Amino acid sequence: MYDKSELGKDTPAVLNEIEKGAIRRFAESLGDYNPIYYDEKYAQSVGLRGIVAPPTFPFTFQLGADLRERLNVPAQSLLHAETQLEYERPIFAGDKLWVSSRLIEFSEKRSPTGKFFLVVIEDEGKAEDGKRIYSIKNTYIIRGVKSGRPGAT
Amino acid sequence: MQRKLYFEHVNVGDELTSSTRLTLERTQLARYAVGVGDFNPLFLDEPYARQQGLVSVMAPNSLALGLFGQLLMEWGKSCRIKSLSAKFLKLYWPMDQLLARGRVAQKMTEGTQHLVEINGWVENQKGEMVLRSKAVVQLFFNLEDENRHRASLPPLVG
Repeated sequence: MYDKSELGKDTPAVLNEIEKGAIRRFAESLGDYNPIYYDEKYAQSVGLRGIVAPPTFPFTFQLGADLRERLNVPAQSLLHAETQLEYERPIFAGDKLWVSSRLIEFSEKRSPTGKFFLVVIEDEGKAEDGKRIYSIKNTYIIRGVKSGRPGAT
Repeated sequence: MQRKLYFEHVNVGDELTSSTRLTLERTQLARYAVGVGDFNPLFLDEPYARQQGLVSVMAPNSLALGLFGQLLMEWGKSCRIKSLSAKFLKLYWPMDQLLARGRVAQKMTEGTQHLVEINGWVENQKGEMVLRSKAVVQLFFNLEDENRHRASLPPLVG
């Protein structure tokens, strides 16, 4: 479970193997039928190494623990406010990425409507050779937690 | 159909618009929540969502960013995305109709990389912005630049 004491610490990296079927299903779930997500020959014809993952595919990666459980807050209190993705290169079918996560901010804020918590979590995916492939920084707002602060057990 | 978009053909102020407006059917919403691996009951369980004071199930915020990503890749013809960021401004709901749009804000060449910055947004059927986004994509300068890259020759520099 997340706690302020975890600031800056990496969670153990979890292996995510990028499968063609998962890319296809994710693209379909967006209603995105761009052939670069389905057809290897087509993807190569436009200069890609092979079937590529849609830009927001890193949202599907497994990190070994559910965020809401780690933050110990009910689902309805957690609002995804901002996201920032950086890519060193596209993610391709067949990639094996080691994904880890780090709590980089956990602070209490005040607004006219009351107290809230700001949580910033950065995930990072590395290739097997240790090279960073992408990072994603997500900002969440936690509201309406009445008893103590989230993360407290 | 042209398969590539080159830097030399892009102008500041160029507009990007999705070819279709996505109507967020309930099945599509559920499919996305499952696709992204987020089983938050607020996305999937109507009685639960109402009990929590929502009008219905809601959509995961990242869905609209996915639509902007789709637009970028359609426009950029397999361009390389360097960065993509978003602020989620408004929730969206079953049967909302979402449209991704964008505008070229800046062109820049950094070293050998030809980069285009795009300001984007996704709007609902009332014209309200549900997210605002910024993306930087990398393009080849032109066909010759791409051919040199494929042949492992040094890149063309503006």
